[in-house]
Amino acid sequence: MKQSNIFKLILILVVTITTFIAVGCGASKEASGGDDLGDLGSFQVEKSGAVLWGETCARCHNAPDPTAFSDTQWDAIGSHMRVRAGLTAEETAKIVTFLQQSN
Amino acid sequence: MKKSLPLLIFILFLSAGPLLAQTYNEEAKEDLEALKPGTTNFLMRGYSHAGFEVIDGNSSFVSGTFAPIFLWKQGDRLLFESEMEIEFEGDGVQFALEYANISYILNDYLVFRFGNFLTPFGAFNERLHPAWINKLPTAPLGMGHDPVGPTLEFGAELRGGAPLGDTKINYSLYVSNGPILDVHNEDPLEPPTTSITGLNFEDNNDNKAVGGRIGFLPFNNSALEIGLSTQYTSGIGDRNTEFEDVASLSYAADLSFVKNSISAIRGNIDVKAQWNRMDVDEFHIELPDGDEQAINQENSAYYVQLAYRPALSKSNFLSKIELVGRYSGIDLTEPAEHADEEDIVHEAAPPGKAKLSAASLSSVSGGEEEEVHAEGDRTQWAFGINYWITWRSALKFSYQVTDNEETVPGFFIHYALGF
Repeated sequence: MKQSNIFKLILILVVTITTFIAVGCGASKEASGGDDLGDLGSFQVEKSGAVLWGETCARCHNAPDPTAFSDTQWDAIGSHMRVRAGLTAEETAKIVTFLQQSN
Repeated sequence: MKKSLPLLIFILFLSAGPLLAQTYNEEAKEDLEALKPGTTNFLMRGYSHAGFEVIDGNSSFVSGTFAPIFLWKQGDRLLFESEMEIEFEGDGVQFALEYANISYILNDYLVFRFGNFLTPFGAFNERLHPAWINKLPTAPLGMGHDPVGPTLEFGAELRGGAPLGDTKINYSLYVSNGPILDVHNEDPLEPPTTSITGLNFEDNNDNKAVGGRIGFLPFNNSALEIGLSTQYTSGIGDRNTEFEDVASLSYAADLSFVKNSISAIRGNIDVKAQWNRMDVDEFHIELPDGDEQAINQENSAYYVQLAYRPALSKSNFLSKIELVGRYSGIDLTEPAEHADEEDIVHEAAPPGKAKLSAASLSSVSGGEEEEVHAEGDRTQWAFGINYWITWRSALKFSYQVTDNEETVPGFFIHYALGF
């Protein structure tokens, strides 16, 4: 079997397994770290800045410590992350506000 | 009058307090106003790493990289960002400008970006390459140095994110100078060498690249993202050469699944995967004996990575440990078979051939084809243990085995810092 086919098979298995994990975990009660979601409900449900901070930042790296930067620094960082991660204005504003209020 | 005097004094006494307080408040307010930042917001961030490596029995301390990121925000809509990379390489210090661009926020869902930017091709190059974000000391095969697919653009881009019903998407669409096909012949007694690079800061032709990426986040908690990317250029060779209309098509798929605080496994799981592919139209190079050889480039690279961190452990030490495993590979095209005699074109090279830097892909001698690759098809297994000192700094211990024609083991101890 060609390596490309092995990779495709691995990729399919990874997607399948992670999908089952995600759906399964969404149906279970989890320790709260601000992560009260996992269901497939509407994305339009209002989320707090704290929840968005935990979900959105973790897509690439560890969620940042709010005390790491000042209010003005978080403002610049928020714009930088909005561009890099393709965030909406609302998501960015909520996350930045949460970080500014928590530092 | 005498009876009202004490009352008057009492009233004056009562008034003194608020008057003094108001004066104090105004002074404090002025002090605070003096500290209030203006509309110009400048910040330097970045990352660095250093460590010790043993690769195929050869050990060395590596001083690593210093990569400052400059952010300059003016008002609510204008942002400038730039990243430099400064590192020891060879016998000196190498400076590189990774990107420098200006973004203007058009509305809640759209940003216009102009300048030099990391290609939104897959996710690793744009989001995951910094040392404190990449969970292993090395990049996956085909995703770091000598990558498969585009990594850097000089152009203009529209990007953003938006809710889509019960889901969410992010998107990018750009036009740029595109990649360069270098055909270089240093030694007329040797076949020319070819390479494709993205450092096209002064476009080598009038053909522009068009590309983009769309990411789909189907879950409410943004845990899963699936991305599809592509880039097409109708011509990547130098202007007024036979290679001007050699087209290239690149495409990629990426996946990210991150779920924190899973009680069943007492921690976090992070899955990343990506597959890159770059196809270049067949073109011919002239051999020293006057014959021509066809060159095909159909290169691909891929990786799958799984990380687990027992973040819910009662042990503070264990909660900062992270286990990582990664499998990656790169498949480079075999050089085309030497053309049949009737297909060989015996003629002089056309004028205007460019002189550019190159890396060899293949060589032919004596009528027999030798498959000599600068890099070669390779696969790699890598395993690592990270200790997160803070959310943006980690000690990384990893072991990897790279298989080509030989098996090359490597052991790494790195310290990565984001700032």
